[in-house]
Amino acid sequence: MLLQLNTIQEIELLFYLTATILGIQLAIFFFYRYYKIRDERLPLNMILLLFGVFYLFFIFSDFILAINRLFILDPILTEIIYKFGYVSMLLSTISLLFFISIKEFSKIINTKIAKCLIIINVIPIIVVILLPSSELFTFLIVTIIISAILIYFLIFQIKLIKTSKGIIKNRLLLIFIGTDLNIISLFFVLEIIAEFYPLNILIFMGISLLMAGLIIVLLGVNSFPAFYELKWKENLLRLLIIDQKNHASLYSYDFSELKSKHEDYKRLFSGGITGIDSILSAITKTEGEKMNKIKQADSLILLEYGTRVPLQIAYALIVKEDLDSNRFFLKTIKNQFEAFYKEILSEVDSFIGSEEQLFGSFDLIIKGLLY
Amino acid sequence: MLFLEFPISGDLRLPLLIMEWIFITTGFEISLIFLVRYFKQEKTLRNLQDVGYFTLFFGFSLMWFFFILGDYFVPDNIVSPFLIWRSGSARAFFLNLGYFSMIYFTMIYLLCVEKYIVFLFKKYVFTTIFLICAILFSILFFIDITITQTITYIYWSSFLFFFAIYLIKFIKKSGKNTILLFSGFFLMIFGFGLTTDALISAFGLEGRMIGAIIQLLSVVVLSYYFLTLPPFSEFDWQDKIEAVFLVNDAGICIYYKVFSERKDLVDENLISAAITSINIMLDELSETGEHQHGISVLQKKGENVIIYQGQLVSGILYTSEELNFPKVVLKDFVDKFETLYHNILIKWDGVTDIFKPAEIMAKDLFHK
Repeated sequence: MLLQLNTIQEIELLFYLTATILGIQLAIFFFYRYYKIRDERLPLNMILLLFGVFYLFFIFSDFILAINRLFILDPILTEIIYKFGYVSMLLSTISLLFFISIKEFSKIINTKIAKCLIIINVIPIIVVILLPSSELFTFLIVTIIISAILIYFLIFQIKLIKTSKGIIKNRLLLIFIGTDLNIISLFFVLEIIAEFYPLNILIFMGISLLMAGLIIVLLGVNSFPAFYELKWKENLLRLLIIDQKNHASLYSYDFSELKSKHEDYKRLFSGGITGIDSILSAITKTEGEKMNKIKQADSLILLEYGTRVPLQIAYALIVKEDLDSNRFFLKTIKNQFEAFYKEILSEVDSFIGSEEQLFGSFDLIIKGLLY
Repeated sequence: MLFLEFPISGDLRLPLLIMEWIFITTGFEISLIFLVRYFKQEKTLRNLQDVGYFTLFFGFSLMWFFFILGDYFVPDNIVSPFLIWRSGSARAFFLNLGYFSMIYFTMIYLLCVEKYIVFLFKKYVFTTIFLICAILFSILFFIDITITQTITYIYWSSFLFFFAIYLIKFIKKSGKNTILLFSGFFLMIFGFGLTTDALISAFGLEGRMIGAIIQLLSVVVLSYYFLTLPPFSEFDWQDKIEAVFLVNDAGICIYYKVFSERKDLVDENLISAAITSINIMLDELSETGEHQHGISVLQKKGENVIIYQGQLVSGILYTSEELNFPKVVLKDFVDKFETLYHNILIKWDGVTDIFKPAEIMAKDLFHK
């Protein structure tokens, strides 16, 4: 049975509708951003996917609770919809906790707490399903658990922001502030507060807070960069760009103070990589395939190959550990190098001997990528 | 003919209100995207046509916002006296606010568009015509708010005439997705028609509902079209490029390329020497008297020479019209050239072969 709305209720509905449109767009935008860089498999990019899921459940819960309050008169139907709304709200927080429980974050926070909270979050879901939503006990359980998650989430945010740098720090700050505002807005629409309706201005404050939060998050997710693993820079040792056809080093960059034992290291390395690749291809009968990783003692050489035919350019990044972020960084270097020197690369054979002079300016790009 | 009462009531009230609200929310969002696009561009590249589209979408959504207030939330009874008028109704008042905002926002749109495009025979022709219309509307608005609706039909017809001319010009320039643009505007006009009082009387609220859905669709189609277009500043500029030169600090031409076949230039070495002298004079003219890195424009009738002084080389661009975008492209060209050849430029031995790849760079940047 549908209720006929009065003017204030209609305005409230329109406010909710605006917030819902914004929320759905935001969730879609998160998924789109994730889809765009999903192939890179950087674990922290899961932030985009899981925040997308969070906002989908969150907005659904907010809207369904509003619809229930405004339209539904039948007590049984009201109860069922409330249960859907609350379960959806609690599921949204689980996606946030899933994000925090990523192994990488164990460097900054105890992720076991996140895993425990995921399990604890199941308790209010059961309570909401089994008990009437109007019970004070239900309200208390939901409030206490969400508050505990919010406190933990706040601690995590502060620690992550402190560890992050540059653009990612600014973007994370916006996403977290917006999300916090949105979570706080939840408390305004809980049924116990809604009992003061329609005179309670808290409802409108809640929706305004919700919309402000959504807009702030939208600003944060806009041009969100690839999220590298924490402390990935300390892992970098050296970069070499090799012309495999001429066995020459086009460019090199030292990320650490590490000095090579050989004076003619670059030339040896260039020839060595090409030689190893040829031998390996011969003994494994994989002539068409390219070697992409060499592990040796305490270091690792990651390899990428140029896409500009007929050039044979190899990009070698020497690192301490095999991190996905390093592979992504190497691909970015490859793309930047090929884009920046596209005109010169097509005539690289005519500039043999001047490589150092020609490509030395790539230092600027590398520094830009690092900071 | 159906008899329709305002505020709208009955079973269709809520679905119609929701649909129209979604439509105006989307309109506001799109207008803001245009505004953000404008501010995100480099200052010299900002094109007021982005602001124009912001005002068009914003004005349209604001008009609909007032229509919603007038059609759903206030009575239509004629009261005498009504506020400052001899007679009137709350609905007529809000509808007039809608017309008022649309007319003035449309005028800003026209002003922004006519800044760059000449229609008919003179600049700002339509802006002037619409300004007169807007003043007439304002006078009528203060005399009697119940008669202004008819005036808006004349206004809309004139606007459609302008838009038809604009679209033909625009499509010639952009040259892509013509069907999308046409269908977007056709849907917009058709949908809006269905929501006018005259057609609601004929087709009822069901017709208005279809009109709102069609308008929502048109807003999405048009925004997709405009937002996937390159920035307005990038239209056409390549046709106006005639030649580019790179001169080093010693006044030697290290690279040049003539794009326009019609261009008859003096020897490149003479140009290099002349530009070096101009640079020295420009430096002297500056307040500090020191070497300045920046853009200078020398203008004569039908000829523009843009000079960008980098750290090691100066770029000179001949254009047939003064435009902002080529300045940025020239700066990018010089900056990239300097970065690429930094080490070589410092100890250049006079061999120009090493700069051959600049040919590809110049073609990529300046040629269509």
